[in-house]
Amino acid sequence: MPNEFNIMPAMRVSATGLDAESRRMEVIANNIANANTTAAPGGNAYHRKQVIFAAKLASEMNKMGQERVAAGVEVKQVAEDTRPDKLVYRPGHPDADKDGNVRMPDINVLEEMVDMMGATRAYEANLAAIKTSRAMATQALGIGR
Amino acid sequence: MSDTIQILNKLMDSCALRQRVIAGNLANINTPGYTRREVEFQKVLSEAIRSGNDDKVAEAAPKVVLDQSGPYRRDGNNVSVQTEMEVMSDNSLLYNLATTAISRKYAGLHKAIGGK
Repeated sequence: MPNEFNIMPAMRVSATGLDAESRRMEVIANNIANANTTAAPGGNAYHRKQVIFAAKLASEMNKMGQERVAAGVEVKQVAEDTRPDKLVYRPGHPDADKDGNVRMPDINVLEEMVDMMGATRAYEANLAAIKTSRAMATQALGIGR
Repeated sequence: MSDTIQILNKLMDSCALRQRVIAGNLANINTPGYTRREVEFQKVLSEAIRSGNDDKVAEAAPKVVLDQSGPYRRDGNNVSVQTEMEVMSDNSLLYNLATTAISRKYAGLHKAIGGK
């Protein structure tokens, strides 16, 4: 039986989805944790990061008239947000400039929370797909019993 | 007898492929510019059966197509969790049906062989 009609690749596809979404969660958690970091590596304020996803397309199904199915998803890049730092007046702060302003990361915790909910839902959707694939594979094993 | 098993086998194959395609759609729910894919099989098979040509039925194969019908989000993606979940539960029921029917077919054969 050709590989394309097997259930197992479906689980592998969903596993890449779980990987990518949990990576996104890590990045979001890191953003929240560093919402007040004024001295990130390099000495500047921390910059918000975000993951960029890209589809991985299957190579073996490029037959005539067929669209290539997605073999999963991958994190193409963890990109740095380009929005400028917030200036906060804190004259006593060791990282303050000569006017007493400190450069703080412009991180909106609410925005991160919403992003995190999106990541959780997408993770759950992939998990549901794995469960269904498993149930289907079990049904196939039951043929002839 | 074997015709039925052959067609049910094809149905199982197409369901397995569809499950994989849905998994791919769900994995790419946040991928900018991704268009959802879909498996076309029932239409192909029913046309083949209606033609009355056994070779056409044997050759009928599931086809992966792009589905550009749904509303696209601003990131150029048109996957919706609800649609995928619905198609997935439909598909898994159909797979259940095919495996059950094949089991019944084999059980019937078994009885015939045993002469009971």
